[in-house]
Amino acid sequence: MFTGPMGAGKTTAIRAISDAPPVSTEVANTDQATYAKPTTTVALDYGQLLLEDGTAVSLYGTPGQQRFSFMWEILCRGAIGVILLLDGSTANARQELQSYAEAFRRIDPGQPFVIGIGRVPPGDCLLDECARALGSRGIVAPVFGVDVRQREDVLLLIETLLCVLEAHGLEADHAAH
Amino acid sequence: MKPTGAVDERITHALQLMESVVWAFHGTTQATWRMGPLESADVLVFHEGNTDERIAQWKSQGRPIVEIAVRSRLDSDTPNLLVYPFRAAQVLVLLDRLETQLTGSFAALAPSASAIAPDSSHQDQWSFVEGLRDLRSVQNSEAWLVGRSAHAPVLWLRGDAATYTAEPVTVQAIRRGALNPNSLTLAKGSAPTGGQAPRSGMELSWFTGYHASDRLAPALTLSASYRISSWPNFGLIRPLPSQLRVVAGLSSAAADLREIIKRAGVTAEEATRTLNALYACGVLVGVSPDEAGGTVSTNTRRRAGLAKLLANVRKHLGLGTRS
Repeated sequence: MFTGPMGAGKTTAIRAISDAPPVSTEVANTDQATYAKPTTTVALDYGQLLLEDGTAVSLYGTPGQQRFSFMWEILCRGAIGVILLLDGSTANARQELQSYAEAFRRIDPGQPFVIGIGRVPPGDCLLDECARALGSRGIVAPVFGVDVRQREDVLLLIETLLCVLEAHGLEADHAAH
Repeated sequence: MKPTGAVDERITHALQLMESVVWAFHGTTQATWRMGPLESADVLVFHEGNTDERIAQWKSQGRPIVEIAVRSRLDSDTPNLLVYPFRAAQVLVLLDRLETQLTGSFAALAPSASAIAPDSSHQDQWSFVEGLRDLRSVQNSEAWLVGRSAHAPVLWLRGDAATYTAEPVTVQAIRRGALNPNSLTLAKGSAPTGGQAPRSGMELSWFTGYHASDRLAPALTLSASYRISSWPNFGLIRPLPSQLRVVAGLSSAAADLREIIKRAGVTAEEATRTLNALYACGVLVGVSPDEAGGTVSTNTRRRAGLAKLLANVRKHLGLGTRS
């Protein structure tokens, strides 16, 4: 599952790897004050990886607006893992990280998650600060600087999630349907 | 050597901290250390500003010293400097370094940050990495160090080691391990003026630690268990799949080197180098045997199912092909 605030790149990330054209519930963005972009997701994005053995791995993207946060829990339960995307150029990236991390820890404390932060200015200490902030809450989660417009960056997040899943030895039957 | 008169309260605290750490590490270091009178001492511990003439006498005899300061310093003539507030792990490394010194193995002695490879005849493969770690603990973001190779500046390092700047060709050489950072002469200098963007000090730490040696860093041991306190920024580092597996394993549960090799399915050299890189980044934490082990599931049927699914996902996306 891909989650994060509006404009972080969830739809872009799913498009980068989905085999089938992703289903998207994009509508005109009426909240230009929060993030200036033409459209935004209001229900969910949906993509798929169609594996060789017939397994379909579903890729979900949550809506970014706080008022749709009830969707997070619906989508999060049963997800094999969560990739949290944040926009490092916004002033409230740190608060958003804290808010999302706490929300997902509350929904499923054992669920692995990986954090990708985009648009981090060169030399900025945001990533270190975020990793430390999580560590102080006892959360040792990967925090990487990424550009989800680049497919290899999305793949890095997924590969990391897979490695964390392996390390945690989580149940396979959550993963596919 | 405790202060005899009125001194800065932090000096008193610093000396108390040193004493507490020595006491806490009793039995865990290579040698058995205890605080005692000067007459029977192997190492003299004193605070900056102490003008006792016995210090100069001790130094002139070439005997080991530890100087405790309460302000950041980047001078080059203090081999074993602890800046208060210092971490217990720094004292542990220092004690083992002193042990090496006292037993005559000067060649293996890792100089402190203030003495990063000032003399090419005393290069040590860990001196640069240890220097970065010390700089991070000193946290002097106002200062800049300039690394010179054959008198030409090639690297600018901020005093807290949080960022550095270099030409792209130098950055690539550091990442490939083609540049020996211990061959650089680091000295205090001015901030970089070129157009190169600052880069994360974590990148410098990771690659210099990774390429430093195929043997464990002196501060690490085969039998100890480790975990990570936070992940390095792999968006910048671009890890090999084997490195990713090692780090993911250590984020899940503490392990010693043998367990890491087994869990991650990597070679001893890859596991060792990755541990060294994590150590260089300052994110590796030693844990007691009681804390080691952990959360790995023992449900083999489900683990097998998970492994198959993940293998299929990897194959589908073309992941994990670099080793």
